[in-house]
Amino acid sequence: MLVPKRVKYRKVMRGRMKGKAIRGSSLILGEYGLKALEPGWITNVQIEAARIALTRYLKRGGKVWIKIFPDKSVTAKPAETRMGSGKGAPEHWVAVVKPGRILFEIGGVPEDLAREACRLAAHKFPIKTKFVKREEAGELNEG
Amino acid sequence: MTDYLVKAIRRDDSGKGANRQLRREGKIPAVLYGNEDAPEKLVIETRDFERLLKQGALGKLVNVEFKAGRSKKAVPALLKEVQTEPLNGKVMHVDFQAVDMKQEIGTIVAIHYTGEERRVNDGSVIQPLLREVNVTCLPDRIPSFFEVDISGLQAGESITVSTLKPEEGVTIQTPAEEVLVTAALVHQEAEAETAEGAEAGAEDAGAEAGGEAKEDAGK
Repeated sequence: MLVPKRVKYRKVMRGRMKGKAIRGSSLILGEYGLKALEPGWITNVQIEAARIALTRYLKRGGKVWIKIFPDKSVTAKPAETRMGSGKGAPEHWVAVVKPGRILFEIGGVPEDLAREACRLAAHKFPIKTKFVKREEAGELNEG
Repeated sequence: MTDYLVKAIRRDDSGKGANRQLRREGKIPAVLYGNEDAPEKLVIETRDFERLLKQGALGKLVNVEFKAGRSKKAVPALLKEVQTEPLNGKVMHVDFQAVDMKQEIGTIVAIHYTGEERRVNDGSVIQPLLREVNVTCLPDRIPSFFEVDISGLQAGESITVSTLKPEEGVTIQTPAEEVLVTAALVHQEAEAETAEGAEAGAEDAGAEAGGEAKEDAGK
């Protein structure tokens, strides 16, 4: 499971998810990818579930790159606790994803296989996604 | 001189309001800079430009034709940069860099990997690390692409930039020792990774929970 090795501050503020992903919005390593269409927090458990779905489906080959990292801690108070007495303990880790962000990249497999693998992986995320592939001539990425 | 032609119109308005209006009308704001004159603000048709991109004009020499006063002006320029919208990939803005045909320029040239279908399946996966290289040459000598045959590439082997054979007058600026493509054994890696991932995940979760419990107790 993806977890930061060490962090400067254990608890962070929630922040906002305004705008679109400018960086990390195009395919760099692979031929195909899964692109986020909505903003959201993706937990490390969801990333791991998607990775397992991808690698199991692509067992005959291919390479998968995870392009997001859960570096934000989310805190929660224990059940049946009265309000107050400070912020809760870190519960899990999330990656902040904005629309346009590439979540996974896949290389070395035919398109139909990559498409199906991405469809399976997309079910693990709480946001809408789309399959994207590298354009041949213009070197621009299009869905 | 060049196969690509871009028909443009001069524009006076600038800023996001005017540019958004242009995009709504199916046009793309563009700019032409690099010659002795002041930069020209231009407008081009989205459909024509997207057709041009599909032909592989990015980084190539194009002829930008626009009206200057009463006469038409055609400026040879490099299709330097194309800004796209991150969600739907639509072209937002285009940069053209006017060039002097007698002076060398730096640009990017795509690499086409061929012969993958002829490769013997040895459990490895072709992993292109570079899809383009930087070159310097005269504007009319920009190669369309470099072709790299990967049919003989075996597991663990790689091809470097030094194998590219550019034509005379074309200099590759990317370091010769940089790897272009490699045949990586990912099948075993993936299995090992899955096993490791499961173990590491369990360890991490345990360590994390323990660590946090201690820290919280300390407070």
